[in-house]
Amino acid sequence: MLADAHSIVTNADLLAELQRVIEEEDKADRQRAIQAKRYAKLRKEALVDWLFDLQSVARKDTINWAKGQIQK
Amino acid sequence: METLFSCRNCVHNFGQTLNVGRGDGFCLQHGSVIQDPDRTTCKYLHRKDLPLFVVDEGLREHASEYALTSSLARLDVVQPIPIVRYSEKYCWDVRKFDGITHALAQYYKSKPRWILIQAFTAGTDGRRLIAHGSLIRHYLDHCGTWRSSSRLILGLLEEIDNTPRFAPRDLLEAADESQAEIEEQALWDAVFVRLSAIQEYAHHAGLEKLMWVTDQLNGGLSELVWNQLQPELYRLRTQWLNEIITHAKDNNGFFPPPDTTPDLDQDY
Repeated sequence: MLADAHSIVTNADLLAELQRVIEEEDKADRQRAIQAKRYAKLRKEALVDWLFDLQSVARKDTINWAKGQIQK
Repeated sequence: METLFSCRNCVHNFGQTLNVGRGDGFCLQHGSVIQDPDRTTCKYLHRKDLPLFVVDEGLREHASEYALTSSLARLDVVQPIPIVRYSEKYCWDVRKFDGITHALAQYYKSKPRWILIQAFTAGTDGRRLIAHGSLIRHYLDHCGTWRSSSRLILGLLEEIDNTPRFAPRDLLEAADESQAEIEEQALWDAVFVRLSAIQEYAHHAGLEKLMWVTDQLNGGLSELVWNQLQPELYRLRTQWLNEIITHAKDNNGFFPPPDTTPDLDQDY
């Protein structure tokens, strides 16, 4: 179960978004999206869209702070 | 997803990918056997599946995470791993000899080294194609110039449309994937290693169209359909060869005599 405003991006939605990036975004994003689509399809990946309030977190601590929150 | 940042997906470990190459790997950056390639990494990681200039931001972050380790490191706990020198005798002794790993471990001894890279061209053996593409990228990385690599990239391009074939014993085994699925993924590993080699060469040479060859490949690549992509590669191959040869000629880099090319690293 996800608390707060976090949400799940389903595999179908993820693939659709990656397809949109492949068709519409800039060259580097397109290329990264092709590879991401390959992995997402293969592993039937879905995502959790984490929404955190980072105002009180120093930029250099963001990754470690978020890691702690996600592992709770 | 973590294995994307492991030695399996690094060009300095030529003979393996996320789907190809069982057992130990070999790292040319550290001159070490990689005993657990899925769980090993280092700050010099150079991803196989995408060109360096497309993922440089992510790789810089990875490098800073492993900045305090001086050689190979455990991917999960960022702890150093001791260097293990390659021994042909040991490999035979424990029945772990692997022809490609052995050939690549000899890379240090071959001079000039590009001769060994050229010896890897030709054919359809998927694992050799992956090793060849990775070697060129490692070489480009080391030399930092297109000049000494144009003949290598021409060799790769000449057979860019070859269908990679994999011996079953070269493929990894996974409980949740069939042999056919792994073989399909291995084919794409080979395709992306090789396309990225062209792109990285173009990046060094300043050839913008070739830097983004993936944009010229229409649906075959983005839909991951090899039978559609292969004719596109065949069609574009001559055009790409011409672009590289013309650029090299225009910049005095097309098979220059050794005594007039001070930036060509003869030993490397």
